[in-house]
Amino acid sequence: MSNITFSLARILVVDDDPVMREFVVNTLRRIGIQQIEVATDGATALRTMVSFKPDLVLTDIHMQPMDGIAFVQQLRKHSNPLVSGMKVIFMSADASSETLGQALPLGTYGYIVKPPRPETLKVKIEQALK
Amino acid sequence: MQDATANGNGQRLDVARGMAMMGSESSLRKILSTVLASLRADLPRIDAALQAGDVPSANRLLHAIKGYMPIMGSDALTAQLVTVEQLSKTAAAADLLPAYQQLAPELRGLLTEIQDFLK
Repeated sequence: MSNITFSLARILVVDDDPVMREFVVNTLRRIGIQQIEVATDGATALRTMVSFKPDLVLTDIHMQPMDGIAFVQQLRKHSNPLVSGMKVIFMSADASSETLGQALPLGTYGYIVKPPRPETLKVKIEQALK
Repeated sequence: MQDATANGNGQRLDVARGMAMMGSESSLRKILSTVLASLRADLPRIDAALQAGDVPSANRLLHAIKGYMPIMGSDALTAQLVTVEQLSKTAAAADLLPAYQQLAPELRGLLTEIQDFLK
């Protein structure tokens, strides 16, 4: 079984809002995640992924200049299979059916409404890391 | 008359919720400092966007605030923000402006409460 040890998981947080970045990083630390990197938009996240090599990406949807949907679409087309096959969980304050309809077909491990509760985040991450 | 947006104690900042969401007072203080800087920058931007008729920019800023408000905002303030942000997805600036003009003093009140808490 290729489970990644939860506390050793490397997680990349992508969000353009400084408050939400700080909240998500704090929540990840509270549930025991230690290796965390942050990016402020999709384009920066694509560059960070190559150097940080995360096990999982938590990304906002509504970002500028590259939003979360475009980021994951680019990620899926990446020439590096470790990047194109990356596990992704979307986070957004917008749980509309239109947004979900765009996000969920992109091969992700679900969707978290912001701000995520620690227990919700832990369960979602555990499921994705299995 | 009780304020329609603040909670029963007249507070827009819900410290108990913030403590529960952040896990410690030091973490709450840290994120409230970030909220303070962010809101101070964003409120004039929302005003300017609406005055210019730029509803998409106002919506983007309101959407970000809506995302983090449940971390520390009162239920009433969060609900009012959700309503205005929802309106900003479809309304013209002239229709959005009155709703935002009711919300803006509450957001400025939140800023003051955060400043007082951080003293």
